[in-house]
Amino acid sequence: MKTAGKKEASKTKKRKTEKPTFDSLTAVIETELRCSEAVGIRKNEPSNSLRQAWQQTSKQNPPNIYNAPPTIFKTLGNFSAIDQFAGLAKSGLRASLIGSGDQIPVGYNTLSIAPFVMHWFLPSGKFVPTPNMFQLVARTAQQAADFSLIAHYMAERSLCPGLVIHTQNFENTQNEKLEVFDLEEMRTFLGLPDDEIESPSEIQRKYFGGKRKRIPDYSKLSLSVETDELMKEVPSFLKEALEKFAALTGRSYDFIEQVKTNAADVVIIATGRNFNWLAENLAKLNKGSNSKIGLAHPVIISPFPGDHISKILKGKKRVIFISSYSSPEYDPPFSKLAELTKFVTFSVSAGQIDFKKFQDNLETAIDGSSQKFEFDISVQKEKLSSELAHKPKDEAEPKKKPIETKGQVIKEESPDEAGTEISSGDNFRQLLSYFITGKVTDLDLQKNFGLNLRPAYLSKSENVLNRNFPVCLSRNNSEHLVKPVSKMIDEIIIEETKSDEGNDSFKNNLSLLKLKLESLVNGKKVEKLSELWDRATESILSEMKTDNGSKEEAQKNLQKARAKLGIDGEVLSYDPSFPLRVIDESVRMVWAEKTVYFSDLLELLITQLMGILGVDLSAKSESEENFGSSVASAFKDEMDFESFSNIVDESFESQPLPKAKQLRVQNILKDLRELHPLYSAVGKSNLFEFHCDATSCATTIGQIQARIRKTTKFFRAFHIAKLEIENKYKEEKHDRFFNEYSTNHLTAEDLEITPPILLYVNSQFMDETQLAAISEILTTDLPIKIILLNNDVIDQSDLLPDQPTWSTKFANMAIALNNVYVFQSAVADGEQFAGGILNGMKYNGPALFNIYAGPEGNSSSVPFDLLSLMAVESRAFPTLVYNPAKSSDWGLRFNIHDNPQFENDWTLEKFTYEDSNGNETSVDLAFTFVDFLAADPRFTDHFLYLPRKRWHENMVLVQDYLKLNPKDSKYKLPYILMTGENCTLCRVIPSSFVVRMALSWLDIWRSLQEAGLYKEERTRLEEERRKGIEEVEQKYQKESGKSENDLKKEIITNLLTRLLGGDIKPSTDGTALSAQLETISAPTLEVQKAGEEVAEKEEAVEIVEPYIDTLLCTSCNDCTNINSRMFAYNENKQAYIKDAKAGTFKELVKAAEKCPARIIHPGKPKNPSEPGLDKLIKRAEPFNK
Amino acid sequence: MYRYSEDVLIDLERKPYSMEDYQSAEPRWCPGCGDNSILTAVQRLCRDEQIPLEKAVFVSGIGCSSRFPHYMKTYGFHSLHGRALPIAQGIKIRRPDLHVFVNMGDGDCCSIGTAHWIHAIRYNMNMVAIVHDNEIYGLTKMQVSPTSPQGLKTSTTPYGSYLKPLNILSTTLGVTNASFVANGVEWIPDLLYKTIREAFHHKGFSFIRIMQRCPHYLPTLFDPMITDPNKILLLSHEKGIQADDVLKRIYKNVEEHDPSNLNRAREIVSMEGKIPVGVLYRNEEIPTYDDLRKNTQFFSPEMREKALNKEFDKFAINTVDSEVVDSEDSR
Repeated sequence: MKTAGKKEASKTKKRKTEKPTFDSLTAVIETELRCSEAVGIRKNEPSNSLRQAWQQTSKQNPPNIYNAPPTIFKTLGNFSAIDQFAGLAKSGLRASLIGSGDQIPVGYNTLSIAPFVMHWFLPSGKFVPTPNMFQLVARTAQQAADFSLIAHYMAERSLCPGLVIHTQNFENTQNEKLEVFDLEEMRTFLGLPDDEIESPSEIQRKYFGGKRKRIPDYSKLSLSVETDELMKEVPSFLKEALEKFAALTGRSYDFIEQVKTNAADVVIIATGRNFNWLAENLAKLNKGSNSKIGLAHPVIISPFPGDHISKILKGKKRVIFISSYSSPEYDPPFSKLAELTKFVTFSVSAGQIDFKKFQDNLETAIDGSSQKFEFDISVQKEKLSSELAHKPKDEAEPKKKPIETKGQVIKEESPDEAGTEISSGDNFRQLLSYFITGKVTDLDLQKNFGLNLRPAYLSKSENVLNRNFPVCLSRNNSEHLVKPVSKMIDEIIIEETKSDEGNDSFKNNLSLLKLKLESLVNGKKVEKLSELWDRATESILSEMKTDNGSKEEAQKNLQKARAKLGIDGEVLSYDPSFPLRVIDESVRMVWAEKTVYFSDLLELLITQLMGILGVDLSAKSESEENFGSSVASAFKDEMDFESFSNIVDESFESQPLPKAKQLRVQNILKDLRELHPLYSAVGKSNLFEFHCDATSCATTIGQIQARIRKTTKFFRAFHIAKLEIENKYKEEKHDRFFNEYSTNHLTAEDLEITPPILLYVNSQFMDETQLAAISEILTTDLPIKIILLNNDVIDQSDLLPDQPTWSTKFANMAIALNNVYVFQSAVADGEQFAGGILNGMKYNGPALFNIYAGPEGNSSSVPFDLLSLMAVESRAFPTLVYNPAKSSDWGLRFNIHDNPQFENDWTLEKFTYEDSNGNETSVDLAFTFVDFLAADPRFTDHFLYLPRKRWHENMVLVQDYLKLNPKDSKYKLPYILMTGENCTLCRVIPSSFVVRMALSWLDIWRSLQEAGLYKEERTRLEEERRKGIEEVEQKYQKESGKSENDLKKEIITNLLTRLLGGDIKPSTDGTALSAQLETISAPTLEVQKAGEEVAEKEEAVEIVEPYIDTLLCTSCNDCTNINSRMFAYNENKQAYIKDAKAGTFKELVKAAEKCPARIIHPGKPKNPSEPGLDKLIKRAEPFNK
Repeated sequence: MYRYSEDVLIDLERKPYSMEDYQSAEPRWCPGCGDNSILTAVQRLCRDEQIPLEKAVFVSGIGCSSRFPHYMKTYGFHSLHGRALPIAQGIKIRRPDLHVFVNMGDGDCCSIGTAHWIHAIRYNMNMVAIVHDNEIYGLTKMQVSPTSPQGLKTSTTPYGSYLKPLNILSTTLGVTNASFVANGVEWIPDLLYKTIREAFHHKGFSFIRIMQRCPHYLPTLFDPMITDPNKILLLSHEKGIQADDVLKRIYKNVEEHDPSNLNRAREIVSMEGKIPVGVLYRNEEIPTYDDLRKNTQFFSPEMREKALNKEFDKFAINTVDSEVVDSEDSR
């Protein structure tokens, strides 16, 4: 890095300091960080190298020409990135975007008059045409740095956006020593965005007036400018830029870089790495050829420098154009070049160029025997990867040796330490400044980062883990899909020793077996438990001594235990593939269960539909020949085939299948067959899987939507098929319905047998547009299971530390959708993990599995499974289950009880150690988020080891520090305990950055706690309320001096006296009232007597209205045949009197006599003038009782 | 999210069936004949279950009862005397999707059709068999049937019938695989309907014997039972028929009989003097013959053709196909 203050620059100036080495990637990043106000990369940047380089370099905060650091952006998505930067540029900021990959997002209207610069790393060399952006091509690191400045200059002068293409493939690039980064030079060359300048051209004067800002702010204006006009001026600005740059730095560039073209007969035009290779080998090529060969490298390809090229090519014998496209017509310079001259094209694909081949083909090309060469002159067909192989700077460091603290006593650090003395106050101030700024000034302390330390808490947890893994994954066993092997062995021991106490040898043998099994499990080959068990037994027995009878006993014990093994399955240890296997198996199991009957039904339907199509009888007109051919020749003469044929034709009245029906059946057959494999392929779960990777997340979502569409069509076909087979499909009624069939029309039964969709996503590769698309899918209630694999607990943008990872956000969002099963878990406990997954798969609806699988390519000293456990205990990745199927009560659906010590902020454990005096002390140590980060190698800069002599009394453990309020914590320092190599206990101070992160994580955990303990909270509140009510009741009773019963008695007696006409004398005791009552009791007897009379009168009342005991009617039609207007049947075909006036009393009596059930009651005659009434009444008498 | 059930889809815009939809012709039975009651009960069942007309078939033998299929608008088969059951079984095997009902008289079932009756019970195919027991041969103008009371004077027994009547229920309960046996009386329409409904829902051979009046030839036969409610033993149970309070007030003899208790059922039917009404025995576990013999594969027309051709080729050489099939016995 150069110090500021150098005014002139010339080629000959010697720089005394050692020039650092760079490659294009870091060169670009370093330059942009110094000269831009807003820099960024895309969040879903596919290139690992770019991302890593960005992370490392941007952290260093190099000085900047504005004396303020640039705003760092990480935009999501390709096109939103462009839009964002265009927006920044239009608001007057100098902005640049860095990206890589073959899909360059260009060509948008938003780009007009937005002077920003895009750097694009394009190893494939496949340029894209950019009519509204100018393009420069840089082929070395120096050029990369220089062209960034030149591009900014040009962009700001011409107000057109610029694209700088870098085509290096980093395996081949040497790190160059760069001459750059002089801030003064940059400032002079570029100027500041707010400077007022004169509008450099006519067109700009027209739009902006005479003067404008270097980067104008037209965010509030709406201008429509013709980009074509502006682009036309770019070459002049380029010339200007190059001249100025050369004057300032001494490095001069030209529109076209030329090597030996003046004297050459043949000119080869190439860009980027192709040019580099040619330049290297030019001498050799020239030697081996008759003609003189020159090279040309266009620095600017858009707008294409036609005149410059034609000047160079004037009079040359042959022009050869090297393109990276296999069909060079797509190469942007191709068409422009074709307008100028005839040339021969070489298509060079990725990989190393074979010199010999190139030379031969070159000769043929020069001879002119063929106009276009389409061959692949690469030797190794290396895959064109979008990965730029960028070596991270620290790769050479060896992996740290893991620290073993099992079973050893941990001693506190001893106080004897030689060294410079420092006063307590100074010490504290230094430590505090480190805490606040994260930087140390004391050289003594500077070396105390990144030592091989481990959180003290971890010495405990290892025991827990050994009990959880390895596990046995047993197929087709939904109760014990995953069971830890050690648990199985423990159960056997308990069962066996229950009956036979004191059988220690059994226990010992089995413990030995447990250890042996664990050691035998290796990740490469997956073995069954039974096989592994046998092998372990063999090896144990072979190792045992044969003299004492213990060997026989051991054999017997082990065999007994073997017989008790209830389940068998594959033995898995913890590795990143474990969660995927569990998911795979649970999907398979659940799906097989669901479709056990359906697959048969489906096949039946398909066969029946084919039968319908085959029944098209009109197609089967049997001809004479057909008949004849089906009979053996010996009998042919004796049969009259013509008549046969006639009979068949006559009897089958041609019933052609209606065209519409035929078409319909064919279509539904096609739709059914489309998804048929999903139902019959019970063993293959890959048909349900969709994977989302770096570049294709949007495509995958498209695929899922296509599958949903196919599923809807399948069920539509299914229902139509069922109707067709019953011949119940009526076009008038059903067409209308089925034509509008959509996902909403799936019935409840359909939903149960919808094939699940498994979407595997790695959280690194998602952006918010895809998130939105997935959330939309989740709102339908189709069984879409999203498996979100997290390799990291913390969001990669550690520059925004207070944000939770977006996957946690996603989990919360899914819970808010109410019908999504959400399961978040690190894979520390295999059994519990499998349980959560299985329930999610069984759930008939969408599910989200948020899984922490541990970092890829683990570079820390902590093994995978331990990291998982740490993530859970430090609340970095708490386990939570939201199961909508459990209950309609929200509190019961949400469960955080699988987290250890979920009532506490952090997991606490008693930690014992030997203090410096040799006494054993213990402390309740919490595993906080800070401890979790302490084990993460990315945060080594944030943890400062403090030797004993610098310990200060104001240091508190982090767990306590976090509980202090800001006033109390002002002069306190937090620290954590870590263990070192010799089992020494040390203290380490975290920076405030890390403590802030811990606080925000704690916040999230607390909100989860509140939600999860909602049920308990509610019951507690209800209890309180009840108690409160009881208390009030008791108080009232005491005050009023009466019990409830007495009060009741009083009220009732008051009422009675009032009713019976007595006088109520208010009294406070019951006796006076009862005396009163006695006096008033007389009337009751009278009332009683009156009641009896009424009852008698009722009995004497006769049946007046005719009626029928309808319920006893036997529907014999007798009465309805007599008079159907009077007697009618109800809906159950039982008779009742519909209209008593519709017939005569005679008919009523007749019906009553005829009724075999004797349920007609004629009653009294309505019409007194009917003849013969007396006789009729007499006849009716027996029926009227 | 709300999802409706599949049935809604199929029933789109279909009008529900009413009882009249099932009536094809006005019954010509004698006024007061118990068959009317049974007809009403069956029509009510069809209406309540909304059985599509093309999905039911009534098979009968010969007799007054066997006029039944003529008055139902479904499929029907008025067959030979005593042979209703084998025909019904054949229908069920060939068309397992149809609901099969069998209507027999007492003579039809217990006299000429005895052999079929016993084996039908054992086969336990899923159908409802109703015996219209009026204890007489009515259509042929009054002859004695196996269930006629002892001493009845008819044209074939001018001096009175000599033998005690056959106990249908105990015979049925004595046959292996009996899975549903019930007794009903046609003058309590509510109970009758419930019995037939239980029989319909039972998976297996549901045998109901319904005591019905013949108003022409034996008008007073059942009078004692009709007028004296104590002669009826009401079998009430949640697994059988749950009698409501009204009935329990009228028919005071109520027994809580668990239909799975076979021994008690046998005891009840052997009791003299009391007529049990309700579900006597019920067992859903007994496998049905149609299930046992169900085709697991569906043979498509092509497969059938292929199989047939293969058999035929044993007798004649088919020269149409490209490969000449050589057979073992070609002459």
